[in-house]
Amino acid sequence: MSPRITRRSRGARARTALRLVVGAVYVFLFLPIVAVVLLSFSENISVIDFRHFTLRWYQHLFTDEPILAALRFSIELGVLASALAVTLGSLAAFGLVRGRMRGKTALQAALYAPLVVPEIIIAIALLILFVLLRIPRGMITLIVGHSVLILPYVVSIVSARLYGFDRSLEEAAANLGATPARALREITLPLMMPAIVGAALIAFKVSFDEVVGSIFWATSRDQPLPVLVFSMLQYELTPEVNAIGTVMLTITLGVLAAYQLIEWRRRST
Amino acid sequence: MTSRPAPPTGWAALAPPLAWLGVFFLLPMIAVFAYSFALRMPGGAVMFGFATANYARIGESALYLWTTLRSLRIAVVVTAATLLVSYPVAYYLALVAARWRLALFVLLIVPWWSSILVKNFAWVALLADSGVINRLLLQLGLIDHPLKLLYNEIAVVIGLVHVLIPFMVMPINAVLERLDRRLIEAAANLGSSPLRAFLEVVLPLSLPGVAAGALLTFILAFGSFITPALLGSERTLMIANLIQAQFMEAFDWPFGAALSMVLLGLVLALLVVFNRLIGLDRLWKAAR
Amino acid sequence: MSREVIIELAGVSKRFGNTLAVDDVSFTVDRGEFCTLLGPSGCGKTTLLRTIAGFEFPDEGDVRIAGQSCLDLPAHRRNLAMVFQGYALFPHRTVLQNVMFGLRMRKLGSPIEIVDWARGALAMVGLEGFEDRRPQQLSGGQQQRVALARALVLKPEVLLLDEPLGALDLKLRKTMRYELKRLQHTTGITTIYVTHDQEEAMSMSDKVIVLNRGRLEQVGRPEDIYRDPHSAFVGDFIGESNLIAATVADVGPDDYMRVQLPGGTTAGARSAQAGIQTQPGDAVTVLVRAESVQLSASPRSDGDCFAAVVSERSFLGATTRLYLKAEGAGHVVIADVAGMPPAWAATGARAYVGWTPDAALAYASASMPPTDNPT
Repeated sequence: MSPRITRRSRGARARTALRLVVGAVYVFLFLPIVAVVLLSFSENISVIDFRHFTLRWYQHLFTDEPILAALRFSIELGVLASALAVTLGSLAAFGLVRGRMRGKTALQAALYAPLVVPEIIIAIALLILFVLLRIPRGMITLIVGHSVLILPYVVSIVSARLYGFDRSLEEAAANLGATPARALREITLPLMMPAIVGAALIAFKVSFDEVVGSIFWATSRDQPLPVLVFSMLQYELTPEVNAIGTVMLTITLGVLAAYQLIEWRRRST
Repeated sequence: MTSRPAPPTGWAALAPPLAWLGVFFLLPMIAVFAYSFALRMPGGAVMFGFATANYARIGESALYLWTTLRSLRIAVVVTAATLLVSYPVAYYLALVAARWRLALFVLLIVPWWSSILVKNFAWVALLADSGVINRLLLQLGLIDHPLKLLYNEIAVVIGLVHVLIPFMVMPINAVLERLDRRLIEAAANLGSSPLRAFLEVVLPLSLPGVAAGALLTFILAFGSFITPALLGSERTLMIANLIQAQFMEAFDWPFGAALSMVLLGLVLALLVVFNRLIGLDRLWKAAR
Repeated sequence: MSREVIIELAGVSKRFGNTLAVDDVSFTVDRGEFCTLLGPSGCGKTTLLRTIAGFEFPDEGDVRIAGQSCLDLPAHRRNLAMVFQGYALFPHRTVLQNVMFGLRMRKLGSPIEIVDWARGALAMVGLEGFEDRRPQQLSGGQQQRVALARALVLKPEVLLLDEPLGALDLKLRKTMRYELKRLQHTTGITTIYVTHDQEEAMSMSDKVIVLNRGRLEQVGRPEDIYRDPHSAFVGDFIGESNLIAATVADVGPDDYMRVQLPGGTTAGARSAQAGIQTQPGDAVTVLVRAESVQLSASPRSDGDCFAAVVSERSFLGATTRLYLKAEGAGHVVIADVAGMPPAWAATGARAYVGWTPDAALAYASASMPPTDNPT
């Protein structure tokens, strides 16, 4: 005796099925990340043993000079590269949004191109250029390379905010006697600050996590953290990696949280 | 009569970033192009010319042909699997979830923005013979010997799908979000079941987003380097790994450049086709 | 009492893409005058204001301030102050800082003087005590007054206002109209006001400039424009009017004529466009103001009238608006009656509609706008 399956219950079953699938996907997405964090507290590299929680790996970390040096290097690199990218990217966004010229689609394509060209190609291409121009690899080449990779993100964020900018504020400023330069300084830039800071945070994050390019543009002395971790993963797999990974995750997600906070504060005023 | 005030200087603002990209993005690409026609001399020097020897070598060598085909195959499988898994999520986010939408979005961003290194080496810990998954299956008695889940194509596919799901979800979600709900209601009103409404209304209208997501996923998978390096083996090398080998081990830069041009050529071909069919501006929005 | 021209537009035209937003417009504004640019949306009034302010550059013609062409003077160097439609208050500055902005930019005084004057301006608009608030914390009406103070404190040559009362509710709008007029009188500042609200324009202005689709329709004092509209558009736009298509039956002396209305009856009318000769048989549009329509229960003996049925009554407080459907013709006539209408004029009753020839203006049909009287 089969129960009558009404249309409504069929819909409800479909919904439940959908929820299950979506839930499974989210579990799949979070599983590795959670595993890394848990493993960073475990004695064994691949066993999550809840009875033996340890902070050994973190202690190792904070005394491991090469890793700390790489971490410091990454942060320095991130700050410098994002400063450069934010400056260039904001200029590009202003030109793109405010400029009255033809060929904007081509310009957009040019500015966003680094996003669709495979990273490996950008990596070796710049390597070739550095060698041809005899620029020694190190912080400089890393800053240059990262800025190219980060630029599209900055352009996207700043121009999105700029599109919605209330131009009557700038007109009012002009009407009240402000030269274009002063209007920029007193009105436009201060009101664009949240977007620019947001872009800077994202820029830092992208630089901090950048692997492929860094592998080709760094040296064994000047290397950011991801490069060090990559070689560790390939050659000597120590349990420390989970702790390093967790630290990296914390920094990245901290930056992201800061970004969200700025967004929420901007929306509420 | 009187002079018109000078028009706003859009080009002045665009000049520095465009110049920067010109020197540090366009110029290197040209350099790669030039290198691909050069030859590596014994002893390491590079002689520039118009030799097509590098390209010929790619075409003649089984290793490079197979690697290209393998990369294509992996990219296709990854794109298909990612699409299958991501579409429901995008659908749910855009059309079903109500109060949870914001939370789910934020939750999606967390794995998206986590470092690819962390995500990949997590799978090492999970898929290894003595890793989390095998231990669990052994403990549960579902298997007798550990499954070979690591350092093969399966691991690479899993790793890539894991990384690329958000790239597929976002464009599809963006399109579905903008879908006029009333279209679905109208379909229901005219008597179609939810399934038919989906197949005939939602799915077709979401295709541009699907295409953008699929293209992005495919390009990222096809050119991926880290994941096959960490989760694969010599038998699962992809194009990017070969390129890296040329530059950092074999030091045959001209040949590496030729390989890169092949990869770039395929990607550009895809982009051109996509632009013809749908338009590249969708892709920029998807890629951010 | 000499009249000094402060603003002069000569033959100004402006195109946006394929649209001609402003078409050969010329007018002057005298010192101390309250002048309104009035017209429906899309008529070019805001474009003209923005051209005067310097945000748009005319394709043809000249704009002169105090006799000098200002076309090569950028917006930030013109001695004008504008109140924007959305107020355009700087959200990241306090109310006081907003008011001080122009004084700082134009370096009109020492820092102490600037603060002083700004406070004074806020007091003048009735906002003392609000100095340290942010614009977002104020109501629409308060923001509007801040915008006004910010402009007035500069003692500009001309004050420009772009539909400043549009976002306010009716009661506040009426209060602000009075406030603005009072301020303008006190300060004596030349004011150019843009609105689509004809009641606003008529009640506040010394001079009204009516625009339609980029062209100048008429310039004059409110009373003159009301009594003597030069085109059917102006007559229809201002006040509540009836527009009836008719044919000239007979031409009389002094621009008077008899016209044949739809339905066959005749009525008297006066040509509104002196100099345009009409012949019997010409098509004209007859304009009769709602308050000039005369109703009687039985046919009149002293003038033309036609029969109509009362189809609707609208009580408006001080007046009652009656909608009458002409018998045998179909067009609807609107009549405004002071106070309560006579008892016999109930819905469904028959009335006889007429007017004095003086009250009916006839326009050659080329200038007739589409009527929106309900049928």
